[in-house]
Amino acid sequence: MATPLTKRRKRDQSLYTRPAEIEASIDRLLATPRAEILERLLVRSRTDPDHIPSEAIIHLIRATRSDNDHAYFDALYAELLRRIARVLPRAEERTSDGRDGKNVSREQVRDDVADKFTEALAEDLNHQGDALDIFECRFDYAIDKLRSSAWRRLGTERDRRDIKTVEELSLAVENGDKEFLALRDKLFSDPTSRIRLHAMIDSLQDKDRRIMQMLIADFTIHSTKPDEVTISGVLGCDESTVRNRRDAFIKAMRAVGSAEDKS
Amino acid sequence: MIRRIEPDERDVLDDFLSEPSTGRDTLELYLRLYPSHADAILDLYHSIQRPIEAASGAEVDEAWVARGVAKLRQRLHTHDVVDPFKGLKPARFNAIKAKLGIRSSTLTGFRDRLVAVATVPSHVLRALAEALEVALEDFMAFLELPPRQAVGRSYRADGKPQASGEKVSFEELLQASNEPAEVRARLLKTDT
Repeated sequence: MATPLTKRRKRDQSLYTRPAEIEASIDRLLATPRAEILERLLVRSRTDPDHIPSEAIIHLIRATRSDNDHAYFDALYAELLRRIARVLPRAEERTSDGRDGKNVSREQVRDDVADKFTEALAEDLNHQGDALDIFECRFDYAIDKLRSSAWRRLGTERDRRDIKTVEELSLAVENGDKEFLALRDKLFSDPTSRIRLHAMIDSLQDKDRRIMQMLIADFTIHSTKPDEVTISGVLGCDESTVRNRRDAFIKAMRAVGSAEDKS
Repeated sequence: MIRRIEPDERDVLDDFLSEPSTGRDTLELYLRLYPSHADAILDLYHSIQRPIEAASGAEVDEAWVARGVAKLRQRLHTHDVVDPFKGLKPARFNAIKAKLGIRSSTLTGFRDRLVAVATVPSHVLRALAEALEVALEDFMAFLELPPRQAVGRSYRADGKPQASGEKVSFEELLQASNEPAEVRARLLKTDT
């Protein structure tokens, strides 16, 4: 059986646990010969039954702590690096004007993420700790989290493809909560428009983006109850700002909606 | 009154990500518990809302992967890095130099780890590793070590021998070795 994780949540001291399918996968792998594991590392398709989840590879590599099988260790680690590289935006990609270009910041981010991960793994292998526990729970998002901090360290606000301000998106329009929610539900129920909406939210300035994130998650804009979690309270901005930003966004969402209807 | 100390951002985000459900209710709970990390929590929540589409078909730069493995090995000190130049007879040294079509001083630059490994195109690293009969990862782990003080190198009597920690780029090494332009061009050609 897989060794239980040891990290505890600060809020209630409960232990981190791996998703059930990861536990099951690790249990099977622990009874699998290494030669077979090495072959299966090469399976890329996530839907292939032989594919080894990244979370399970983290467990296997941590389990090599008192092990001398260097070839096995190197193969596991090399595969983790490949997966990190595939999760991150690629260093080489087309520029906005269609030319092939090398995006230096992206390359720096990739190196920075890999360095931080390597550091954490080395630390874990030398002095057993709990910093890697989260990578056994949700590898891709844990890497994504390292990516966000790397961007922040680089001093870039965000990885924006298309920078817009809410003002550019639209002027304020007369709309209420109901319309916002109806539009949101309509657009989010369709995968294509959901992707567009996410891209649109990504393109917003930090403050506006967070307003949208909270509106979409159905938080109240403002409340007279002091202990209610509200948008104006959490983000420290006034009620009318939130409403204006929301209304501008509605207009932009409508444009997405009508593009969907036409297609 | 007991003042609660807020945990650091990394722990708060890891905790959030580890929750069995990372939906709206958990978001509210975390915003309530850790208001000073609200921005980071919201960004994380937003990134969880959409699947990460890992480019499973994408080819990864294998030289980058090998460099990463070499770096980790160096960090771990779990296995000794093998010196591929150790005990290399002059005849072999000359044969390798001829095979690669490079001057002695260029090869010496590798032997003394004077060159920054990241600046060497991977076809050169592969050819050298092959000629030295070591695995690419082992060769790169060796090159990642600090420059060595060459045996017999002269130094001033009033100073201690000291290998500077600074490495030169591959291009600089080729220039310092007076490699002809066509050799430089051939060796500096990138792999893509």
